[in-house]
Amino acid sequence: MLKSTILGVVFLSFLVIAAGYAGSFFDAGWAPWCLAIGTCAALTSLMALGAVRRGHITPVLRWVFAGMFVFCTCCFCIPLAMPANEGAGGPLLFGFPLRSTIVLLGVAVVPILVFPFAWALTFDSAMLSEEDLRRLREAQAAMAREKGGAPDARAK
Amino acid sequence: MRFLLQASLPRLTEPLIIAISLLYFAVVAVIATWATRKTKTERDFFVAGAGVGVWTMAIAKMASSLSGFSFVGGPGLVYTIGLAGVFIILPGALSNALGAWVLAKKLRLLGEARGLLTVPAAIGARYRSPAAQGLAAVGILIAVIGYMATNLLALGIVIDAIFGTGLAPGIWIGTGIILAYSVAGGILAGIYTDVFQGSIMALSSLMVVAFALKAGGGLTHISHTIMAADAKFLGPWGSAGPITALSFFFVFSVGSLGQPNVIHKFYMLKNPRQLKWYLLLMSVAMIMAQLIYIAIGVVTKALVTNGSMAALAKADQATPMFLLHSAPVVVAGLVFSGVAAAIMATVNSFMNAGAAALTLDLPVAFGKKLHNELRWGRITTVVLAVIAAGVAQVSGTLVAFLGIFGWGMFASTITPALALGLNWHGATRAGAVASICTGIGLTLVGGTLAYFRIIRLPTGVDMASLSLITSIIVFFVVSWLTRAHAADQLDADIQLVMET
Repeated sequence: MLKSTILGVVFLSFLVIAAGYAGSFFDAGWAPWCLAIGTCAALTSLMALGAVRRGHITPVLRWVFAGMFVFCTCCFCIPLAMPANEGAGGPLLFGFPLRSTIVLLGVAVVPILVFPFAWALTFDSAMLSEEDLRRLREAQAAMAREKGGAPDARAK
Repeated sequence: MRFLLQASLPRLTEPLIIAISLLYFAVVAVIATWATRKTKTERDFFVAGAGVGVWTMAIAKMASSLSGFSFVGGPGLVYTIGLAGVFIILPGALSNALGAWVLAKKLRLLGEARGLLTVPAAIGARYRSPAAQGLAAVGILIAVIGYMATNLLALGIVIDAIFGTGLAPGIWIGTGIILAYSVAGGILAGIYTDVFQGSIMALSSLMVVAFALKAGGGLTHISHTIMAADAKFLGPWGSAGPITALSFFFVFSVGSLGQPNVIHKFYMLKNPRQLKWYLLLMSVAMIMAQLIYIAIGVVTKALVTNGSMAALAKADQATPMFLLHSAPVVVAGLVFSGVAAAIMATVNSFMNAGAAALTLDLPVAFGKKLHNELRWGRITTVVLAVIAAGVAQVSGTLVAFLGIFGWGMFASTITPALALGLNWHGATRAGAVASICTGIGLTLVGGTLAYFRIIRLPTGVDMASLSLITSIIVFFVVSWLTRAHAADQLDADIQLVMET
């Protein structure tokens, strides 16, 4: 059920991106919004799809994916909504124009601080433990025996 | 890549630059010779014997995913269109994480379960379909020739600028050097030279950023200088607008799941449990190597704006002119070695991916298997390299045309069938075949029509992005329509990998 729901979100995200491209053909003002929201949704929902194991996602990862979707989307949409103010004397944040810094923080700096640690800290429990690997290799060896072939040489 | 093609670097024939470049090539030769002696089987040749550690894999993935474009064309692009050009590398933070959750573990375990050597073989195994495997190999072959030709041309330009060889000899000398270790040692030699080349790229990038900030007077001063003269340049979408920037973001994030030269390296990891630290290592390596991309483009714009530097005749001169203007010769030498390193690492990976498609995947599609795959791998590597170098030398603007849609071809043919297919039990063979055909057809036909301006696309939209989104939607729709067959097309061992 969870996987089907996430797949639905993935598909919907790509439809929103397609709508954005369709809108760009007649200069629709909403086209960039569709690309921004759709791409952020597609990326985080695909990650969530990859993180589903036996019908579940570790709770901490649910918060990471949902939180990063909201954060990245806001960091695209706020600059889209704000008036351009990058002329002489425009406001700076961390030495860069305000709107640009929001985008850079949202889709580059913060994700690079969050995702690698979320991946590493949940890897044993939510991705691949020694026990998972041992069970997988035993099951593959059993299948190979049933077929009458030898398991892969590295499956030991 | 269009920007890379237009490159005409100023003469760099300084003795120190030549010496550093010769030293770089000598170290590559030593590493390649060492690695070549270890290449004894087709498994060594195509997946480095599946015995690589996570540090090696992460740095090699970084080196092969960044081409010369990151060092020359990319800064030139930023110099021209401002921050919109950064959206090509900006998705890296998200796309590395995407690759980790969606593909890393599944590809590695699938490779082990079936003894796979290529990316199309994973598609063939997933759907029990030699046709899907063969079609994916065709897409890879078409894209590989274009990518290799573009990069060999860039390498020829760099060699000519440093050693004054002339462009055509530069192309063939560069091709010969890469061939020497790619033919003898395959990806095993490639991956260990990648580690050295990736280290050079990261080191030179960090040094350039330090000199760039110093030359520009600090980030705040750089911003004020540019903002006073060109309000849009440092805006969030640069001077190209939000559609261009966000379209780059979509293609270079989701499309990263279909780049065979990068994802293929998951097969090479010795212990899948080491993937735990892969994302952190890969992210750090990518940040270090990509800083040069934004730093040179922005600082050169500031220096030209305040009159410290003459306006550039061509955008691609941003990197060499900045280095000759603001960095010590030894740093310039290191960076030009870094450019050569980036190109060589990328070309080696593409040579190997193309040779694997010809030697291993296409015969399967016709129900055959070659004897002595190692020997055929070497022969096809030479054939592909000679074709690509010939294309680079004789085809003028066509080489840019081929290179431009290389990324789009990989993305639209491989991403849906592989990345979605390994995470969705309901995906079907018909969906995979339909999406691969859509990707190849749209990229080739639509790309050609758009390049020759027979059809006109909206500003900021290119055929790569339209091919990718269309092939994904085709994959979903056709799989859903043929969902009754999904369960029959999934072998038990593949299902086990997908559920682990």
